[in-house]
Amino acid sequence: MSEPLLSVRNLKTVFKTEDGQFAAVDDVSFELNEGEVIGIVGESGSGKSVTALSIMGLVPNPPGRIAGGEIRFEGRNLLELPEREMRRLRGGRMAMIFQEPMTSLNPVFTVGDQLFEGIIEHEGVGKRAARDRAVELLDKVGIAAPAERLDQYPHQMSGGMRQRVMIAMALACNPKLLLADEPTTALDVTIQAQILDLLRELQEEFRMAVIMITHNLGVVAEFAHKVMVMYCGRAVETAPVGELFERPSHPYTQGLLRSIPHLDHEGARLRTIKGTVPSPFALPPGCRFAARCEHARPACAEAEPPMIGVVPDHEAACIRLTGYRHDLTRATEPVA
Amino acid sequence: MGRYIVQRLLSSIPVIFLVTLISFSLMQLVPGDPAIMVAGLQATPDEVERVRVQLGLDQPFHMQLLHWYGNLLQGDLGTSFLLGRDVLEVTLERLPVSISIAVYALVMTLLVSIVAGIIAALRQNSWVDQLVMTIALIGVSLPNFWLGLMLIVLFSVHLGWLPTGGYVDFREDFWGWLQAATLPAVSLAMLQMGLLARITRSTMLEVLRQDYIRTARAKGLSERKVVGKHALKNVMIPVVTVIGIIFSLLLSGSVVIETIFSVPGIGSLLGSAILRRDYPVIQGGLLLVAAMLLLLNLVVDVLYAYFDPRVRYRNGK
Amino acid sequence: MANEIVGGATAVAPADPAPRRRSRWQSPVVRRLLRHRMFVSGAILLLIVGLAAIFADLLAPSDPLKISIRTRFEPPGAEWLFGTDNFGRSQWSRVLYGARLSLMIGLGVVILNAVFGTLVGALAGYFRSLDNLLMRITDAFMAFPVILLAIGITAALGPGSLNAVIALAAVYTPRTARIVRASVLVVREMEYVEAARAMGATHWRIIWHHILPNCMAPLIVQLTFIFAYSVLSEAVLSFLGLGAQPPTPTWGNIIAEGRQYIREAPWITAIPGIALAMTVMGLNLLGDGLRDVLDPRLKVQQG
Repeated sequence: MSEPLLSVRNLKTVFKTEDGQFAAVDDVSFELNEGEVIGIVGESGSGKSVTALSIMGLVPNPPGRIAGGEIRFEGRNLLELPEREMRRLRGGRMAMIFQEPMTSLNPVFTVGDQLFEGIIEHEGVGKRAARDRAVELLDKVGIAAPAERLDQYPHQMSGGMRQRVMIAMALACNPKLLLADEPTTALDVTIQAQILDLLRELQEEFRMAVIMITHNLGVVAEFAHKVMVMYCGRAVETAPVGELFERPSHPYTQGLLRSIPHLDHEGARLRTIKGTVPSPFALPPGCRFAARCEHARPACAEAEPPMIGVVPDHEAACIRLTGYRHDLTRATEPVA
Repeated sequence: MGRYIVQRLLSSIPVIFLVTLISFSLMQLVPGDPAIMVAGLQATPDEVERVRVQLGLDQPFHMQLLHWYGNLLQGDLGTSFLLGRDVLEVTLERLPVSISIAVYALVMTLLVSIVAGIIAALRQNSWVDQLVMTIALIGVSLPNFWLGLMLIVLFSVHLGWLPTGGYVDFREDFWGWLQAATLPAVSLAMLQMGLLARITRSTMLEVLRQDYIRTARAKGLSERKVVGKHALKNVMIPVVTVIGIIFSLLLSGSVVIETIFSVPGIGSLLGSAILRRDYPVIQGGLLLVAAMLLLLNLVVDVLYAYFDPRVRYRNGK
Repeated sequence: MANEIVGGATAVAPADPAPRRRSRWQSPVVRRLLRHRMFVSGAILLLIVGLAAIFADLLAPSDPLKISIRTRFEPPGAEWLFGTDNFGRSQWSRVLYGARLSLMIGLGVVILNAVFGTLVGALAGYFRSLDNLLMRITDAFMAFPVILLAIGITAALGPGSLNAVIALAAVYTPRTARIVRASVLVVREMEYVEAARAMGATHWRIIWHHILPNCMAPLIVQLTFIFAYSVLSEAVLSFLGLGAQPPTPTWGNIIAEGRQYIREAPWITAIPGIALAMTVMGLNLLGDGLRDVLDPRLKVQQG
């Protein structure tokens, strides 16, 4: 099999603050093939956004810095690319959509101006060609009367409309990889579904690989092929999407799934994960989830658990899984 | 846009009314009998009485006020006790001098401090940043009249590069004007330069943290485009709003600076009027300056609307 | 077993240490101020000037008014620390006594500003019916350049320290009032104010107990800067002959007198200016530090 489109190995991104340094992303690895969609799930502060920013080379420095690891995209290690090359990729081969459509567009330029500049930058076309392309893009993301919209300012549009503009901007140069950082969180519920549908259609049409960052497992279930669950800067579980919902193996993932309301479980109580996320400056020596985990044992506090395979392509970082695989393999051997 | 300007004009009417009222009331603060002050201490009671009637000081307060407004509407700001000339005429005559120096200082301020502030922000916490901010801090702490005197000692007395004072009309001899106006303009501009460099830096730092800057970077734009296009126009919004304040500070400073450099502008006119108790000149000069600043603030607001489409559209096209 | 781990883990990773009783000096605000380089340097500068002002009569062995023809224009040196002026008076004494007057005048303006600025700002912010009128009046005052209006007022009232204080207070109060009003407008919408209102608290009680304490941060920052501007503006007034009258030494009038002898005896002019700049810089640094720590979102006022 050929090399994956994107491969992140042992990524570590640290931030320096007044109170000291902490790793927002700590030893995270995953792969993504062409046209594949991965959902990165976690609470705020789990490091999922920083993972995306690290791939885009947009970690604000200072205070942030990529301290280690490797990000290979189309065969090249992005961390070793000169800034010029990186700029060519950004907005070209890979693009990103952000969470806040209200603040992600520059208030003092027209929507058209902000759409053109990326096209002109990457395709080297003139303003007229860029304009035609922009109209086409706005049409594609479902904005009516696109030609008129080009001359409007962001504040004249609704949140959903602005997010469509952001998507159009990201698609401007046919990216192979789209990073979507909570693209629907700031929107009204009805608009959320529309934007999600739009993204799915476009993903299929353009055969893009997508990194969908969200705290909403429902979004993942609908959209992603595989999932990575993050907690306190670490990946705690990775699995194909069906696998994850069927056999959640990390207690944190299990907790997340239990906190989703189900229509068919009417009357059943929702369960929340007790406790709070530890401060990134005072992480426990062992498993970072131990303090909140109902299965915690003394060994959990001793060393950080490694990723342990559950079935092929499904791994979780929990010591309860040590030896589990063998049992499972034996039990399912004839099938596998 | 037109409607916005009209709205803005209408809303400044009550302020203009109050400004004139304050100018008028200043005269009422003068302790003792203004008629005696005007006629002079040696004047006979008859002479004092005549002056009193002449100035309308025998009328009750509201009549004086009405009378004053009547004159004001006809462009009559009174007569200088000292020069025996029309106040409006005297002040208007000297206004171009002050404005030429203030504009020079303003241009200097904008050029130096916007560039310095942006560089400091882009190299936050570097030695360049620290240097710029230290100079800016010194700039906002130096008394301008003292700085003027020190500049005279250095550049005129010791080095002999620039004249110690005086003024040359820029329409007649631009080079001469530049030589004469440079030290006064620098003394005037120092405070504002420090102030604006600090504002520009902190605004720039804040703008650079905004989401839309990240979006611009995510598009793969060059850093020059990100800063020079996306950040700069947003930085200009608050910078433009303080131009009014800066100009006001420049005119404030002109009283002492023009006195020190013997520049025949409106500031030195006010300076000598103060020393000689020439109240109509003080009153009229203040009013004129305030009116000018109100007008300037109007211009600033229009500029602001130009830079910020949110304002432009909120107030109707 | 599991509980032990959970307990142990929380002990290792305390999100926030249990609140202890702290003395005032250990409060987070004071600690952050003491760690703020600008604040500390400003405080040190001011401490120097302040001590010099307080102990002027101890530090200065000679009378600042004592004229001596034999010692005119002595340059700074071992005998005359800051030199002497055209009347042979000790500059050291005059500058120290000048510090006393400068700080007193600045303080006077700050106190008047605090009282009237708070009063007007609170009234405008709390009683909407008064707001428009009061704000138009402050607009009108602010239409005049600060120093020009102060000059106009002192010129009308007559020269002198007290009149200078009155004029500067009159000029700066509208600016302070605007800042107080802005925070009152925010605080008055808070729920605890609503609650107090619902419980039938009087307007006076609501303003005094619930609103004003929460407007202190921007007010303190503003007053520090007003202190700096007042010291600077007072020097301008004295320089123009509108402040305290000679022979009483103020930094402004020493500079004005020295101006005539600037070629032969530049120190007469230079030294009080440096003292003035030091004081103003100290106050500016103090204000920057306070703003960073107390009220990080407060920026330079606009408009």
